[in-house]
Amino acid sequence: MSAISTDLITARGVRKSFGAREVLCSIDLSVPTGSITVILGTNGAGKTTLLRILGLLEPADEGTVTYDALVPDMSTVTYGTSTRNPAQNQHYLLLRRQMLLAFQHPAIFSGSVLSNVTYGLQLRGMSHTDAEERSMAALREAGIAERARQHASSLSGGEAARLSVARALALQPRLLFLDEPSASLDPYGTKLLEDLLLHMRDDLDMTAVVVTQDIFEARRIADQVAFLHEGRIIEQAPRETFFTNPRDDRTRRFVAGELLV
Amino acid sequence: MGDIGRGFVQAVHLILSLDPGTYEALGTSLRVTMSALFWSALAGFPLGILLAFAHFRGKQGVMNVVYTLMGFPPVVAGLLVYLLLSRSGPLGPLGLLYTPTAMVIAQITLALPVIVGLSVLGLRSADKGVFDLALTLGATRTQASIALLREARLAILGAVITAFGNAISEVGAAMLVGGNIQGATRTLTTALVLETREGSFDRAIALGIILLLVSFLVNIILSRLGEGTSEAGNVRHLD
Repeated sequence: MSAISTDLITARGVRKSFGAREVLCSIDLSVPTGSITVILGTNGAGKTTLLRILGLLEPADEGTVTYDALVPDMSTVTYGTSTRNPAQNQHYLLLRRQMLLAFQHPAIFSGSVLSNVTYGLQLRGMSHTDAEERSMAALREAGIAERARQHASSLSGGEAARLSVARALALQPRLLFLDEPSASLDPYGTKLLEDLLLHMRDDLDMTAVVVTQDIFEARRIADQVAFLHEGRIIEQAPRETFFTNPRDDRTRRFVAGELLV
Repeated sequence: MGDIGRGFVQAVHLILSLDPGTYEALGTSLRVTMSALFWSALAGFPLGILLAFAHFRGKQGVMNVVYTLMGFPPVVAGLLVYLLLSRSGPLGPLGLLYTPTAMVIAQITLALPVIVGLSVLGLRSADKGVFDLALTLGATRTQASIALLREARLAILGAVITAFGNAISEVGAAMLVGGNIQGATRTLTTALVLETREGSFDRAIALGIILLLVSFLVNIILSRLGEGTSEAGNVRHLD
C-alpha cells in the first residue's frame, strides 16, 4: 500500500433521512488518499446511501464532505437547508468528473457495449476514435472485449458488472466508489475485479471506497475498514487492527459472525 | 353498405381530382394539429421529466390532475377555450375566436396532458438507473435527461402518436372555437360533420377515409423519426 499522507475524503456530521426514517445519523469518515477503504455493514445499514452521498449523486441533509486536491477552489461541499443537489449542479461538474460510482446492479444504456464505455469519455471531449480505442483497451482488461459490438442489453449480470469495471478503467477516475462490486460476479470475475482494483490503486494512484457486506472481500482488498451500523460509523481502522483488535464490541461480534441486535 | 362503398369511390375521386375543398380542410387539419403537437411536446417533455423524477409537495395531486385531463372531453376543452376567447371573455380583445390559432390552443389543452402523462409513465418505467449512470459518468443534468429520453424513446413516441391521434380526430373543440369556416377553419372532421348533416354520406365517408389515411401516413413518419433518433444516438457505433 502506498504511503498515506492525506485524506482524500473527509466527511463530518453527514446526516440523511428519507421521510421520517433517519438512515444516516451522523457520519464521520476519513478516506486516505491512494487507499482502498471498505465500508462494511448489515443490510439496510445505509451503505448505499452513504456511497451515493460521497459520490455526489445524492445530497445529504446536513454535514460537510471535503475532497482534498481533486479540484482547486471547490473542495468542500456543505450540506444544509439551502444546499443545491451537487449531482445536478453545474458548479460541481468538474469535481464530479474526478469520481465514478459503480452501482450494485449496473445500469446500461441501450446501445452497444462499446458505446456504453465511450459515453463518459466523449462527455469529456475526447474524439470518437480515441474514445473507442481507449474503451476497447478497457474492455480487453475487463475481459469482455469480444462483446464490444454487441447490444449491451444482451449481457448477463456478471458481464454487466465487467462492463462497469471497463468504464472505470477507461475513465480512470481519481476516486472510485463501488457498491457491492462482486455481488453478481462468479469467483473468477471477483478475482479479476479485485486484482484490477489493486492495480488501479498501485499504478494509477486511484482511491477507492467499496461498500460490501462480505467480510472476506474486505479482508482481501481493504487498506482500511469502516463499520457502518445503525446510521453511524462505529469503527474505522486499518485492516489488521479492525479484524484482530477492534475497539468496539459490536465490531468484534460482527467480525466473528455473531448476530447484532 | 351502399354509402360506405360509394364513400370509397368518392374518396379516391376526391384525392385524385385534387378537390380544393378537401385539400384545404386537410391542410388546416394538419397545420393546426402539428402546431398544437409541437407546442405540447416543447412544454410537455420537460414537464414530464420534472414530474417523473422531481420530489415536491403535492406531486401526486398534480399527477391526478394530469391523468384526469388526459381524458378531457374535447367539447368541454373547446367550451372553456371558447369562453376565454369570446368577445366578452378575458382574452376576447385578442380577436382569436374562429381562427386556426384558437383551434391550436384548444388542441394543446387536449394534447399536452397526454404528452405529459404518457411521458411520465414511460420515463418512470425506463430504467431510472440510467439517469444516475449518466450523472456519475460526468453528464450535466441536461445531458443526463437526454440520455434518459433516449432510453424512453418508445414511450415518448407512443405519447406523440397518441396525442396526434387525439388532436387530429377531435371535432367538438374545433367546431366550437374554429367555427367551421370554409377556407379558414374547416378541418377534415368538421367538414365530415357538415357533409353528414347535409346527407352527403358518401362524401362524409370519403373524408373519414382520408382522415384515417393521413393518420396512418403521419404515424409511419413519426415511427421512422423515433427509430432515427436511436440510430443517431448510441447505436450508431454498431456495425
